[in-house]
Amino acid sequence: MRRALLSVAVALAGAAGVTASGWAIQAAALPPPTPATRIAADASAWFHEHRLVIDIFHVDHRRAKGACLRAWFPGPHRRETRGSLLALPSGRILRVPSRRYVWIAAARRDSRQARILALIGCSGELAPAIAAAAQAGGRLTAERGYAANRPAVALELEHARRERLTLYVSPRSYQPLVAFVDLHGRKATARLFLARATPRLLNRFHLLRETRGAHR
Amino acid sequence: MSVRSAAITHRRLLAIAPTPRWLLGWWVVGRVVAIATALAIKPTVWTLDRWDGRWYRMVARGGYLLVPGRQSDPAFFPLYPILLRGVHAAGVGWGIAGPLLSNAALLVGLGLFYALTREIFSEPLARRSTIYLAIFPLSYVFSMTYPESVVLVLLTAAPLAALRRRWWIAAICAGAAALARPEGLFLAFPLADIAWRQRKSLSPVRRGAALAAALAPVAAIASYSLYLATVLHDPLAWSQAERAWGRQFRITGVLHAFAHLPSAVAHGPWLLRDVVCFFLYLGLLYAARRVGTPPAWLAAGAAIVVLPIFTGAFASVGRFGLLAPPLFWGLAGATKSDRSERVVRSGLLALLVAGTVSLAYVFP
Repeated sequence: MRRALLSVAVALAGAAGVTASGWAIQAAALPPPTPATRIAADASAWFHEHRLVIDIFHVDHRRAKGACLRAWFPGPHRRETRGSLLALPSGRILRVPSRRYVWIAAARRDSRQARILALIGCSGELAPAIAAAAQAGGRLTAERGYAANRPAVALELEHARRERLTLYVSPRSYQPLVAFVDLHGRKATARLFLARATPRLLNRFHLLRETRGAHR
Repeated sequence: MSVRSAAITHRRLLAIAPTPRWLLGWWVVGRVVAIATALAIKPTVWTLDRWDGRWYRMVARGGYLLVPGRQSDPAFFPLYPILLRGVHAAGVGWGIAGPLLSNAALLVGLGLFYALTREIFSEPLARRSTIYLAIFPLSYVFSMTYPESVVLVLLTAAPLAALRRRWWIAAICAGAAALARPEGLFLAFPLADIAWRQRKSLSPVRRGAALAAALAPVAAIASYSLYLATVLHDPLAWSQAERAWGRQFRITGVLHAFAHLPSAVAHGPWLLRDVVCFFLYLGLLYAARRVGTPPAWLAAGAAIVVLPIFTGAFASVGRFGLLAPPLFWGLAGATKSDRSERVVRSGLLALLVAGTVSLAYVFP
């Protein structure tokens, strides 16, 4: 009996040793995520959880209200494509394809303004941009700031010279508050209100009819 | 036992035989075929460093980060990125570090696989199965920035150490294998089997070490969860990340995998490769049983081949099978004549070229 107990004790000590040394090796050898990347990951999760964003845009000293809905749409060859519907203040509704890592500077000239608004006003556009920057780990900084009349954390993504996206998030929950973009001197700001996509809200922004073919 | 003979036995237990020339030759043949084909696709390291390799490099450079709802790197186990960091710290560029590490590890892995197979079966079968492993159609993965080569080393070193009664070494190798790939978990079966067979001849402390070796894979995975809890505040971040990759273990997953097979193949015809591998592997497991493979090894092999289907998809089953030694024992057992061996070798080499070409289009 004592011999069996000794064996079990040695086995448990050995297993505990493997766990402890495994943890120690990982902790010593792998770098922990930086505060900026963690904040970006949490902010991205907020966007992931909210399909609808109600925006107040500030462009060229003008203020306008809009909304953006992320959804799946029927595409060619019976495949579904992910995209967003952006209800613009003018009453126009723009369907935005969600393309990762593609910056809007490459967009066609005529739709450039709308795509700038989509980048800062749509969860389907902001989430991949923030998440990709967090996972790539480079050119992402976090510093204290002030946005939406309250202290905030400013997450800054610098893609290239004169291309900068700044996301202001709540310092406690990292909920996105304001997005700001500066693309080659063209600046735009969006105050972000993450919302549940209810039929009433969608109808208010004339999105309900447009989403009939879409889902999720 | 005299003092002299005891000393000789002790030395034999520690000794690792030098790599046989034929093994070195087949390692060179397999690697030249895979690397030359990869370079023919694109004359850079791109082909061997893409797909999951990108993620392992990402972990090696910046550590783990979980982005909920999005494909994240905690799905990739930590040992290989840690080794990549080590190779990079020695002055090797990130792009080359992975293929260099994997190819070198494969040579060690083949040597250990040969030694293990010789201990369990016979020299001719060990030789045949090692050659088949070196030139297996999916063995191009052993040259990529993927952890399979490193896992092969640990997966064969652990039971070999156990058979030679080096139980603490077996525990370290088994734990390290589980830190490199989840398949390392199934080492618990053969290790427990070996421990059971040796139980009467082991001292209580050695018996405890043997039990520790069987528990080591679980303990190592617990250490990964503990680490993720420390840095990401989520001990199950790896499971959550797997979900974003479309892998979620469910009892009904196997039904889902078969029910959705036609639509999945229509969506991505390359999936057929993994479906063919799955059924081929089942056949090879049967052949391994006929050749006298111990049941614990068969259970480990079956778990490696069948359990991924419970996530609802066949994707990558072909690659997972590389870490199931009974498949190669089965293939070696089924081709005993010289003629059949030559035919199988030629077929495997041709398929290795085709498999490497497929890297340009599909992940392994």
